[in-house]
Amino acid sequence: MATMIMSKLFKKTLLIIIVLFAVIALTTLFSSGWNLYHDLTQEYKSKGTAIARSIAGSSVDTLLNRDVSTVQAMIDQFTEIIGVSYVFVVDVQGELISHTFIPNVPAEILKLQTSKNAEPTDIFIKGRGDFIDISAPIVEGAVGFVHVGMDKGIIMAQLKSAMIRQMYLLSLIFALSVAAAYVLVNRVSQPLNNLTEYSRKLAQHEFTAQVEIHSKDEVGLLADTMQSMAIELSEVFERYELALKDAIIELQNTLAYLTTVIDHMADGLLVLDIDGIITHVNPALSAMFGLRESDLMGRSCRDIFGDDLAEIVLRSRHDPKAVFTTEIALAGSRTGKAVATGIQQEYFPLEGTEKGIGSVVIIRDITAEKEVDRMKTDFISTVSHELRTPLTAVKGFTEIIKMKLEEDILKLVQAHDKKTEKAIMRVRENITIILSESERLTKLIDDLLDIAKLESGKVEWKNEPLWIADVISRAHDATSALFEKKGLKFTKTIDDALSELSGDRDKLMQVVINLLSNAVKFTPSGTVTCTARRFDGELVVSVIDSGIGISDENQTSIFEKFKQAGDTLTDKPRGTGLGLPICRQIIEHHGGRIWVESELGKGSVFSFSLPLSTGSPAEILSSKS
Amino acid sequence: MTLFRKSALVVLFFLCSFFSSAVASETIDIGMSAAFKGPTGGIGSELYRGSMAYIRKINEAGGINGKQIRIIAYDDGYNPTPAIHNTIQLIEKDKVFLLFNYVGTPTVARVLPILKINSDKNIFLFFPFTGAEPHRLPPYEEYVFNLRASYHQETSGLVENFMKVGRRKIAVFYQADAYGRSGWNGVRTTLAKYGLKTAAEATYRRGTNFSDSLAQQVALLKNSGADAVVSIGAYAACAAFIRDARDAGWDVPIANVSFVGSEFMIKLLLEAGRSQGRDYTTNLINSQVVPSYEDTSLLAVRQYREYMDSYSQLPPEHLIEPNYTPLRYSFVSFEGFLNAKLLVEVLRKVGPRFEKERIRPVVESFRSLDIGIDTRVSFSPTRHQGLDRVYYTTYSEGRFVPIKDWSRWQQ
Repeated sequence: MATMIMSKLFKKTLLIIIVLFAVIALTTLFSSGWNLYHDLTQEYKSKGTAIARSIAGSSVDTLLNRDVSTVQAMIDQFTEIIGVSYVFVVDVQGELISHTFIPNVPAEILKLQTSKNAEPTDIFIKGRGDFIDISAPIVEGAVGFVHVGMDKGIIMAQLKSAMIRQMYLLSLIFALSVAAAYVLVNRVSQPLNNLTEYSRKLAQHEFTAQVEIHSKDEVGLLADTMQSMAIELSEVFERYELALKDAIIELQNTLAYLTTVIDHMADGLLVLDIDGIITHVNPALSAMFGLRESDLMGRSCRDIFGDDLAEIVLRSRHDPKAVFTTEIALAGSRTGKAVATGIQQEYFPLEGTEKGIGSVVIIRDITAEKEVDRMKTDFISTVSHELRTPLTAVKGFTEIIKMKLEEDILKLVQAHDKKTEKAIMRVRENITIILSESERLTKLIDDLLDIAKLESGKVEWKNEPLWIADVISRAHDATSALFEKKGLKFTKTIDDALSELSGDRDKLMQVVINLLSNAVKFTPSGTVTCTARRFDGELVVSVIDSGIGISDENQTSIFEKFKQAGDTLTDKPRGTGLGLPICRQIIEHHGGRIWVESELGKGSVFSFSLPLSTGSPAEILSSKS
Repeated sequence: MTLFRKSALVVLFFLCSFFSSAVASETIDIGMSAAFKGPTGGIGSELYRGSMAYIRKINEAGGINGKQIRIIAYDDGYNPTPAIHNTIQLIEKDKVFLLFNYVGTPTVARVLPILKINSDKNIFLFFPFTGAEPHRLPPYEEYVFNLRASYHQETSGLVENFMKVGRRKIAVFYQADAYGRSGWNGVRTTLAKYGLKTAAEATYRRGTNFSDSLAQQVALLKNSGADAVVSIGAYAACAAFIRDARDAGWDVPIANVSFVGSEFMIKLLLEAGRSQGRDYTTNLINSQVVPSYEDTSLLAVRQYREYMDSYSQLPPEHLIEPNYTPLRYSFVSFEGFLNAKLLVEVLRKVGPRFEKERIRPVVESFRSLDIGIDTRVSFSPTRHQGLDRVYYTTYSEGRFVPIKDWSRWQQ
């Protein structure tokens, strides 16, 4: 890595050097080459001119003597001069009288025109090359002319050798520059590499690493700064690591605690995500269904637990604030009660829109409770039947006794004495008590049978269209005797817009009657009002009295069996204590709720709601069960 | 140049006579710069040998006025610059009495200005082995005494003879220097008299070896349709030219001048002919400036042959080529012999005090001097060339014989 960085830097520098060098070298080479060529050409021209003039000047006498041999000897010595390729002399007739050509005079030379002021001319001789022909007149051309041929090839050769020398020199300089660049780049890049390596180590949290840079320049300063930074970083990291360790331990403890709690719950815990996929189960749940945790995780709730549970899970997601329950079959013919709650992201909900993240389902094994309940119901049913038969006989015979006594016996007894009169009165009173008590007992047994039937599911529910106004009206008719007896006033307020319901009219009427009877029963004087209205998509029926009211603690229990308001030990029981539980069973069976609002001494408001949905009660019923 | 100076050696030749120990204290120093090595090396060597054959006899006989003649020789390789250096060395360092036996036109032509600038010292060049014009014409003719006829005379005679036999298309093959130019000029001016021009010209570079090809020059001349060639060159190049001409199937007569060294030329051609299995020696004409050494009717020839037979020495070893084999007789050594003979005559007349200023008047006073050949030697203030006669020879039956009849080349 270090060498790579170095070589990159070096490569860049090298590239710059090469480019610069190439530009400089080429420019220098070409310019000096051109200059050299120009200078050499000029020099050769002057040289040739000098030679030509020298020959011309000194060959006058010999030429006049017609001594061409001496001329030849003279021109021969000039061919020894570098660059001189040929020399020849022409006489005034234009005849070549001396020349240095071997093996013969080229045709190109014979064609040369000689004149007094001829400029140097370039001439190409086939097979011999390029030459510069320079001529000089002998005695202004009166005797002849001297021609000197300068070899251009030598110019080029000299140029070439000069260029090559220059190339060598440039190459040497280049090599030196590269070497110098290498050393310089290394000197710069080595500390940088060390720093890079050091930074890399720091990045890997090797805070103990050392960097060996002691220079006083910027790099040294940077190294010092980085080292002190490393020390501070290492301290910070240590602190955070300790804190993190503590936090992790705490978190682990908490998690372990929570896991232990969940794992040791008697109830089964099932956590589902937003798509109904099982994300968590506890051992109790696995045991309940006789499935392994691995068989459950990641599976769809509907596939494993069926539609009922899936349905409440779905509803819990849609209404996270509510709690939904259903019964569910467990392994080994046991029964469980499932309670589903939607869960929402508790932290950082987005812009107030709480986002459902799934559902939590608690499943409790209620097999034993169900069994007890069933046994209780069976018991009550059995006992009630067993009680009612003799009671009917008791009641019937008591009525017959009373009637016979009034019509046949007591008329015959002409009791004039006070003692007999008093005894007759006592008998009459006692029989009346027996009769009313047996009536009350019958009622109690009826109620018990009702509740037992309801709880055991043995009731046959009717499903018929009905009008709530009609139900209320008939309930009032049935209880009008009670109102008259106590002198209470009855008012009713019923919304006109209420639509038709469907359900069991007699059972609903029983509810309203029960509520009205209770109101009459606990209201010494005043008015009992019945209202029916639409509220929040439901039909709400309320019975408002101005009676004694119910304490807060009793309000929650009065819908349970055998729980009348007040102390059964001190207060005289005024009912069976089963009326409201029966009401509750009926209302809940219709998919509604029943509740009470009350203040002691000021009266009570008993209300029940019935769904006004378009769906038939049968559908509601089926969804409930 | 320093090489030449270094390789040059002063050579002393004392002939060990019975008297030598008593008289050898003084010598007459004669300076010589010639080609001893290279493609023209045979000329200098044989010229030297011919001269020494005679001088040895003179020295053996007690020298001149008791003085031994000593030749101080340097090699110039037939190149002007060494010749100039050698000359300066001879004049200024060796302080020779006179210069003698120089070989070649390009060398002598460049030496002439040295003679002129030393005119106050009365330095004269005697009998250079060249027939060129520069030392026969002003401004240098007064410093040079020639024995031989000029190239102009040789080439002019050749051309005249070719004209007589109807060969009018004369081509010139010549050395690209003052020597070649001199011969070329002789051909040209003679042809001009007949209103003719050379049919073709070709040059070669001085120093060309026998092994080099001259086919290009042959082609140039042959293509002109020339019917005779006058060749002015050194023996190596001229022999190569003849070989290449004959190899090209070109059969015309080829005439060479005296400088070529006829025996050397023939030697090369015979060697080549032997290896090629053909005869390169026919249709050759060689002009000479001395009589044939075969003509024993001449006193000088008899003397020459006798002296040469008794003289078997070579020039000093370092001057010559290592494998040099001397010729028994040759036109060159005969010329050297005649040069020496005349020189000795000059020295005798100049003696006994050997004053340099006496040289010129003495030589210029020679009239009809008999040196033992078929013609006499005369000098005068206006005539610095002793002989004018040209001898034409051809190679026949192993020797050069005088051409008595040119008609064999009639066309």
